[in-house]
Amino acid sequence: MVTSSTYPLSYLTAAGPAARPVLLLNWGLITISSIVILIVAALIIGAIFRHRTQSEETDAPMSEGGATSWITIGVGISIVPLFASMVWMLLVLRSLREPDDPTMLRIDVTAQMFWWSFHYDDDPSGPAPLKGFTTANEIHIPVGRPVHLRVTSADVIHSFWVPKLVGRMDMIPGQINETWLQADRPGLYRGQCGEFCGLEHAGMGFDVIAETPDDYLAWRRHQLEAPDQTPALQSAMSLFDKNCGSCHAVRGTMAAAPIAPDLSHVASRLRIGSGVLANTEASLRLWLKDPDAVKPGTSMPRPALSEDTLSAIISYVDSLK
Amino acid sequence: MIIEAVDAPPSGDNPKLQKIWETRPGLSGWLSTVDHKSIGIRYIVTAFFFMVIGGLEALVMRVQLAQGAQNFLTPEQYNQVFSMHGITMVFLYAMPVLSGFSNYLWPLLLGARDMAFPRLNAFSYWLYLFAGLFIYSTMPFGQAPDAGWFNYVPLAAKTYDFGLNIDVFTLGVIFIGLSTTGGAINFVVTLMRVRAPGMSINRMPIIIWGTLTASLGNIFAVPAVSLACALLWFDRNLGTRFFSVDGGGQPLLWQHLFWIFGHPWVYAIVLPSMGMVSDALPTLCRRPLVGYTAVALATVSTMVVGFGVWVHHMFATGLPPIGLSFFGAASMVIVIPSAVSVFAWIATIWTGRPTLNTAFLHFASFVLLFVIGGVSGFMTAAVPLDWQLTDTYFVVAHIHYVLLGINVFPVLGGVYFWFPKMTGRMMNEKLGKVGFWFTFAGFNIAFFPMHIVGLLGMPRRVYSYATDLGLNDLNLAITLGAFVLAIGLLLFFWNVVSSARDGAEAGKNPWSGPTLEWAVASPPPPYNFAVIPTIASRHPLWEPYLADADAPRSMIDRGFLLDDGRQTLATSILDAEPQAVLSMPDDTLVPFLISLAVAALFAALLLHGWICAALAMLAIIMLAIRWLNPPQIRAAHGS
Amino acid sequence: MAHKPLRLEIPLIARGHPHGSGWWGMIMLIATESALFVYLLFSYYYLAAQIPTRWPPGGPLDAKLSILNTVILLSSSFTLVRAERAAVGGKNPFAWLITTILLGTTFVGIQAAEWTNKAFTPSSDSFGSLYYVITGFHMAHVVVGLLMLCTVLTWLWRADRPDQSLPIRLASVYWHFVDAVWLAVFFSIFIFPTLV
Repeated sequence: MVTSSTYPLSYLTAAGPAARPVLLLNWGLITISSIVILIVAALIIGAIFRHRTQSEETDAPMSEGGATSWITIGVGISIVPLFASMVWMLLVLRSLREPDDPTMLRIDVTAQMFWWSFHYDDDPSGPAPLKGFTTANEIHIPVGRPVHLRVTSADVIHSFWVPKLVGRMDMIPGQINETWLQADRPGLYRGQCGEFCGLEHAGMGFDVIAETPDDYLAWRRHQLEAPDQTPALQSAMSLFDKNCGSCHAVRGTMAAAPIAPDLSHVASRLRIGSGVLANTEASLRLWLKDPDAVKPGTSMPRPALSEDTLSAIISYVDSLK
Repeated sequence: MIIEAVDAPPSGDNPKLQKIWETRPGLSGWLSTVDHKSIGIRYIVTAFFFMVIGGLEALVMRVQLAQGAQNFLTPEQYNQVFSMHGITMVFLYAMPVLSGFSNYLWPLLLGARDMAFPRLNAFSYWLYLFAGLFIYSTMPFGQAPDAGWFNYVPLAAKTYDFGLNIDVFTLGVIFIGLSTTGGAINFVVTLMRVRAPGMSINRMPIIIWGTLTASLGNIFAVPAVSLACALLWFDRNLGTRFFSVDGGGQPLLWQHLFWIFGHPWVYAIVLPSMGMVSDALPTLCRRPLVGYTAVALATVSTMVVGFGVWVHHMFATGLPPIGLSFFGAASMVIVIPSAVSVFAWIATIWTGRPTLNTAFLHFASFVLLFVIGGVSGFMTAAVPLDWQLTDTYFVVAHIHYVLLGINVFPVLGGVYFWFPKMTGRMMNEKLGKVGFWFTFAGFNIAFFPMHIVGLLGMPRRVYSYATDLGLNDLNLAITLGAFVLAIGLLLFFWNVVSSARDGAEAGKNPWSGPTLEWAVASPPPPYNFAVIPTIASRHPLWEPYLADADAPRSMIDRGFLLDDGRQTLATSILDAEPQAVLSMPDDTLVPFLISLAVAALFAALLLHGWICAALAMLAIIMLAIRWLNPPQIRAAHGS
Repeated sequence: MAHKPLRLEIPLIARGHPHGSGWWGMIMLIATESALFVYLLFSYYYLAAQIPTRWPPGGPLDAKLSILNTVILLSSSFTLVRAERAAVGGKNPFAWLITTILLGTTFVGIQAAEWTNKAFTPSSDSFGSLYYVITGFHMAHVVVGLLMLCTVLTWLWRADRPDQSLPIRLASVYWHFVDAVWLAVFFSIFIFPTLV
């Protein structure tokens, strides 16, 4: 179901009303800009080459002929598309205002160096009320429904950006900024941190997956469930608690610390490391062996696990679907 | 006192004036000179030196980014390199190179013997050199600034960046700000005081307008960044709470202060070079500039409006819609004065008879690059579009088109144009043209694709990018273009060095130019003019061709001698009526020594050597008093 | 065809003359330092506006000593005007000048005493940081002004001719600028909180 794109971070294929109104403005301004460049280039080249054919009489300077009409005409003509663009821009700005919809999905986003914490609010709309929960680095949203985002940062300035769905909104510590987005068709929409935030600014991506309302409901309900506790994984789980539980949380288990990405259902995510690795067992192994080698500057310390413990923890994490 | 006009010697040589004005030979002369021509050339050479370093940093970055997911640089190394690239180009190249040209040219263009404050001139240069060395002092230890040239908090706060890196940045920016401010004050007062009689303000070359506007802008803008850096240094070293959220500080305060400086600054680093083109291009087109008054007014209004658009660097920070609308609209309106200048230049080429030499090629291409940079700026001024474009490579494309297009290309052309005056030799035209095409092609291959890569979503300030974003091929092309550009610049430097050795002799006026610098020998004598000229028009040397037979003529071969010591003429502000004879200072080591003390002060502050800092402060005060001693007292008491 | 005059009678200005370049240089210096204080006070009002509770957080400051200091500083400007007038008129300016320096030094002393009796430090909160940095920057400018006045005093005392009046004019315009800045600082720190 999840579709990708040749240019996952390009805003030129917008997929929702928080991004689409910009596209027409974008192409309009690109067109105006290109025309201006071509005209100026033609004038300069024309100005240079028209003298090739004339005979050079003297080297003496010419007098100050009144060519100031060039300026008045040129600037006069330029002002028209300039002001038109300005008005158009203001209109588009207004059209991007958040819809006044009480049934909006509400998510709080907290950025940290270098991952994303998402907290879904309780959702009283719909047939049955849904409780809120926390996840990390990947969110699912229902198609056709606006999503209200309250964004902030726990450390330095980051920026929330999903090019195909919404432009940037800075995430500033001590301040809550608000933005919104909506996906009009199902798909995978890549997000990326949009403000230089340190060593792994380049490695701070996230995924927005838009699904049909039913699929979304199913996903959301599943998020609230505790993982299967098969007896086989019991010892693996306690190893996980011991080595990882002081930072990571898994719903329904002892591991409940909120200072690192929430790992409940991490095995169902597309990528790990906040978008740096595909979610496979091999990458998980690579990551756990030495996070800093994969993502230099990551806040995750090296777990320093024996091979047995490592395998056990990997099998446990793999079970967190 | 009575002064009388006399005839200048036919060759322009006056041995008495030569002895009065020349710099002593040897090291002490070199360190103590206050000759604006030496200082100007020093600025230019030092600026090019820093440009090469900044360029090497860029090439290193481009090697890392030529393909996705490379490991040529670690993230920390990359962050230091891209930060230093920005700091170097913006602070240590862009403004100083223009200060250098202006320093060299202003007294010659204005018909004066030196700037209003020759010692301050030397001081500004030494401060610049030492500030540049200071900023680079920790890079060999891997502690260069690493939070970008814009240095946002909280990333630059002690909590997240606890080494010396940011302390070097904050102190270094304050340090270079001292140089910039001193230079700016010098230009403004020089303009007000020492223009030749008759050079009313509507007869000054446009480069005067450009540098004047930039200087006034700097006087009011530089304190904002100096303050921001001081407040951050206090936060980092004294525990104050200006920018830290716990304690009531505000991260956005940094951005406001920084951009209140930053936006006027970007105009300060292009208006003088636009002025250079506005003077040199018409000369090469054999006609006066079209629309002089319009261009002068456009220059000033760009800077004035430029103080009111800083928030366009902060469109994504969550500001209220009314603020966004105002600053977005203002950022579009500021295009208008630029359009005035662009049409003036095009009209000048179209209605003139262009000489298609290397300098001209640089100036003509500058107009095109200006427009490309301008329209990408116009696009990012559209607020909702900026939300997609900001912090992508689209902005990187924009800034490089405006910075290289409006600063570097005119500077390169300006070197081809004024090198003959500075050295008495012509540069090699063939080599120049080859170098130009490499530079022009390399620049566009490197930077035009960045527009596209930005539209495709490549963020800026990233040490690497995922290989599945579709960005690999374009990035490779960009890297190749960067190396072609580097070759072009190498050819330029080779041309400079070889032409200085054995270029063809230039003579006084190789381009048959209209302004006063072409009336003196190449290179000019240390006293510039054997007699102070009197000016009657904008184009004194073209009057025989342009003016009516009965229009007033400038007097260049006859004027006031002023040879009782180092003297020049002071005139009134608007109409340049003679007012007084100014006696100018001799060469002195004091500016160099004070700069050493200032460098010691900043080094002590960096390393928390408070006693050393206090001693350095004391040295500065004592040297300053020595400097400012009125001459009568010095003569009376021999101090 | 109008000829420019070939013979002029104009003054020779040694460096340091009232119509010399130094005057405009000082004006430009004041312009840039004024901008510095404008930005500093901008930071003050910006941070104040972000605090939802009262400002200052610890309650209004006791203004008594600062009101005294304001009077002292304004008086010093008055005495300096008298000193300048005396010097320009060829009379003896030393008494007025020394009084100015003493008043200025008293200002610094009182301000330093004020610093020691505050309940907050520069690192307490944003108001503490602003208070110390703003009054500190101002005090630094006062100290520079005092250095200027002492230097001028020395020059006048050692000078051959007593009418070397430009240095005192330059120091004087700088001193009045420092005075004006104090009024803005005083308003911002002591009066503004009572208005909101």
